[in-house]
Amino acid sequence: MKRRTLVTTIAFAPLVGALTACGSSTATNPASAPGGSAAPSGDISFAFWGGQQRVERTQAVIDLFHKAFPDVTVTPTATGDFNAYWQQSTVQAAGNNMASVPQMQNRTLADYADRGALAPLDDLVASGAIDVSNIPKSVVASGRGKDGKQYMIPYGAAFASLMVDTTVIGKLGLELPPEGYTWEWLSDWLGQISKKSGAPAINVFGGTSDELEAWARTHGEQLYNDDGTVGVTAGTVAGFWNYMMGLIGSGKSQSAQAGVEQQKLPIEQQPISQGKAPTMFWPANAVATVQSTLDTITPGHEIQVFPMPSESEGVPGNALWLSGLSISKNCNNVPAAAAFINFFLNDKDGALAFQSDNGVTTNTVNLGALLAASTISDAMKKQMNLYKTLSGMNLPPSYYGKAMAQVFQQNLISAFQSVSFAPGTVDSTAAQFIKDAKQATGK
Amino acid sequence: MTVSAAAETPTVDVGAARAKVLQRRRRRSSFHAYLFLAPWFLGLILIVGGPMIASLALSFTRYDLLSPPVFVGLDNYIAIFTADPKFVKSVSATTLYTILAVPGILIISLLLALFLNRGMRGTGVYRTLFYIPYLLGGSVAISILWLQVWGQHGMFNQVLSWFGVTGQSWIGSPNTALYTVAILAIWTFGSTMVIFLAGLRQIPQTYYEAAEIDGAGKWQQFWAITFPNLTPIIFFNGLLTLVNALQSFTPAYVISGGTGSPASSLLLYTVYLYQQGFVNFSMGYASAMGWILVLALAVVAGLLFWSSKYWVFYGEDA
Amino acid sequence: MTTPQPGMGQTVEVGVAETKPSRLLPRRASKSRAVQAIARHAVTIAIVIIMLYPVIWMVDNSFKPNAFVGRTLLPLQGPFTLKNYISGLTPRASLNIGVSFLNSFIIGVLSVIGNLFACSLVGYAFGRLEFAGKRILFTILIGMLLLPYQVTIVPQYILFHQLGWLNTYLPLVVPKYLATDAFFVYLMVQFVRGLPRDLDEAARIDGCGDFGVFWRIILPLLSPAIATTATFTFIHAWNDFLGPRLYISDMNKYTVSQALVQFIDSTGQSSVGGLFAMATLSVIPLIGFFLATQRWLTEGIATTGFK
Repeated sequence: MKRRTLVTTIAFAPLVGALTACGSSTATNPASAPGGSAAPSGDISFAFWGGQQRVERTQAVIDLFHKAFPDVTVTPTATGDFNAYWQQSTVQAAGNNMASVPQMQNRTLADYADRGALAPLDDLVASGAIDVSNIPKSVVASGRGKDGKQYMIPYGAAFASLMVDTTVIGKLGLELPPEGYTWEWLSDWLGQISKKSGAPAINVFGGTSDELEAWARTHGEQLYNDDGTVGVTAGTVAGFWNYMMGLIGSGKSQSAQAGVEQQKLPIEQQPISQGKAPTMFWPANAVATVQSTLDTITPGHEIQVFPMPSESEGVPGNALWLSGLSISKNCNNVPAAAAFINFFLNDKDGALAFQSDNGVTTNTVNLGALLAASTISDAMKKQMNLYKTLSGMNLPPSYYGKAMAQVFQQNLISAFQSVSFAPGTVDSTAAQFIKDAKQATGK
Repeated sequence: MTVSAAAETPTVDVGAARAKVLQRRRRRSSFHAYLFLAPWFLGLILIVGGPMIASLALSFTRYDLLSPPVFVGLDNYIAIFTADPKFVKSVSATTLYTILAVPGILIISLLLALFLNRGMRGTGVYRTLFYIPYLLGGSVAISILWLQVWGQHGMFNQVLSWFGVTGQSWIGSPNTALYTVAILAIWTFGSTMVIFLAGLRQIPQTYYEAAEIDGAGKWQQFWAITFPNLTPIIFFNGLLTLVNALQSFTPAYVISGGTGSPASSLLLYTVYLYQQGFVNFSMGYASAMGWILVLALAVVAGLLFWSSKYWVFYGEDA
Repeated sequence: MTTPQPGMGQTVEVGVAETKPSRLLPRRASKSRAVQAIARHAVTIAIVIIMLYPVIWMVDNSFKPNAFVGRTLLPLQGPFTLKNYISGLTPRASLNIGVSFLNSFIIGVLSVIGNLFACSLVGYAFGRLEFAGKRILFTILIGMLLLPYQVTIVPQYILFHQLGWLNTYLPLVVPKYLATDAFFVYLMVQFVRGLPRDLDEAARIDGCGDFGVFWRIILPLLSPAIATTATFTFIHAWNDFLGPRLYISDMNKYTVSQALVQFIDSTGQSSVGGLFAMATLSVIPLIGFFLATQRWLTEGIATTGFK
């Protein structure tokens, strides 16, 4: 008995202590200190996701930062697995041990910002320690949490696109997607392609939130409302699923089973990169990879990126997915963290070294420099130009609430899959999906 | 043995002295045993015990990892059993997976261990080759490799086509995906086989020699010597394979990308538990699921241990 | 010694070899023996090839340029390149694969020593000694096997954070010295219980205490279990990705399992060929370790009379 009590005390004291310390602000927040007269110094850690290329390009920026700020040491820590990054971040946050500068994304920001794992950056922005003057205001605004405070400064914009192998389409004698093309036009066009080529024209997985978001936005809805509640309705979800299943059933897209198989593969292994299908929905920042893979296998094909379909208003369904930098609540070297964030966002040589590896750079000055640089491939520039086009279109702002990963990635996938293998259940499954979504986000 | 000078009759004294010696020996034995167990005690107190108790406590809370836990009593447990279709799905998927994987692993491991124990030339090489799948089993590469075998355009369908049969996508179809994961578990049988081999090696040669001299044939030798002496290892492998199967996480996670796809057919119990804990920010719920699993496993293990009285023969009892 | 059994057609090496476990079976005419041997080898090789097909495919594709991975089912088709291996092994800015091999090796060896030390001691206690509370403690031991690790991850992380062990190898290695690997403890228990008590008693009569019996009698006889524990501990440590993922954030402390994950990036550029090349390379030390410990496994019990 005695030993058990002892064990309990030993176990619980630190646990309870750690868990309750999360929300409270223990030390005075250094972020409110006046703009430092002393140069920043000390150590900070920077956590981000990405594979080898990302790590190399990030390290290049860090090296430049070290030259500019010799008294600061930035320790990078990266994982190639996007999902693992969030698991790591969550566990670290639970232990009050997030990296000083954790990379965040606007889609998943709410889960961390609304729960107090991140430090507000408003004072740093106001004092100029973090200079956001070259980033469009609407983009900066998407880094705000539910309480209106700034928790993340976006540095890279990713977005969905329709990738098209224009060479194949040209050979089939068909036109390319015109400006403001609709979902209906797309379905007909894919039908023509598959009829002429005798093979599926596109490979949709059907269950991803990327396309659902575009569908919702072109049908007057959004994934989330601005108060963080679920914005999309069961009817819209059902309509989207019926559209996707129409593509699959008519042979315009590959089968549902093939969709399950391909969903796990990296972009280099997808049919469009292998020259086996001429179109695909995929984030535009992969265009360089698709192009270089195709160039190796069947040279002479050109990939172009188009916006997502529109409904009748002509505004495409695209939303911007913004990756950015935050400062964790448990960071104990805020001046250095702020200096690093500022450098990452604004330094021109850094931007050229990073080459917009994680979404098009949101800094308009640097974007211009990148477009003019010869070190950036033509394929990359296509993505950047599409971004410029989209930003000029005044897309309605997008909001994201909590449980994005749970509802719109995990649940959505399994819901669509169960429907695609049991077609009669679209409406009831959509209703259940929305019900579960509301419960998850209401927490 | 000393005889007390004050003894009245020799037998009583001898008994008392022997009892005293045994009692001293037992106490010393306990103390010695605790010395041997010291590392484990330390581990229990410092590393395992605390987190175990904490996770039990968390199962009675709502805990989203980033805010302090909130006590909710039995809510999690009630919700699990009354309001969670995915829970039911994960239990049935895990049960089916276990029924497929455990006998498969045990039978193949035992057969191949017996086969390789014969001392034919190249045994060492074959043993290593059979072991290689186990070395790769948890790798990130497996998701792509398994697709190459069981996908629509995979090797299995290629072989079927040689016989004129057109195969479907085995790994992409909810009806068949779980079977491919069970086969993956069986494919990585190498470790179980090696444990059987170790067990076979531990049976003293002298037993076989004696039986040979008595004229016993191969089959008789197997049932009279090999099998009985192997039962502790069969029990060990059986218990652990069963526990591992019911707790299986990595194969289903890697192959389905953590989503249990297609259509939750690969949503094994711990995969769902992981989802609840780390994707859905419901660590209290996940902890409750974990302890329900512990209870189920305890019942299963308890039954196995009880049955072991009847069929497991320990050399120490020889 | 040679009693031909009619209809058996089995062959055997005559004579008792201490290190070979083969049993004594009658010898037949050498011609049909050769046919038997060839048939047995042929069947085994066929099984091996079928079973190792995914591995063969992976190794084959590790020699292909990334763009060409996954286009063929059978090996030795398509372009060939060593680039994946060269590029993978070249030290890079932040992530040095070679260093990760060394890191995994260090963790592996430390883990092996820890497990052998702790699990044999504890296994002997449960397997051979009598002590107060044995039943309850054994139940706790089995209980440790039953709890899924996912639920203790967060409390353990917090614990190690409190101890200041984050970003070191301590959370991965120290538990091994404290017999927290219930799997191996129980393995030792089962093997110990499988040993006859005759030798123990003989040793005790000669004056050995508990530790003497452990050190001189039980431990040598446990060499198959020790070899197994060593092999598996090393392999578990090598392949473990969850522990390092949580506790190691310094990229030059990354283990092989963490380094492998860097080859697939769903948000950027992946190198599947590189992944296959590094996975192939990472299996080689494991095979080496396995072969090295197998010699203990084959030694078996050389007791031919102990009274």
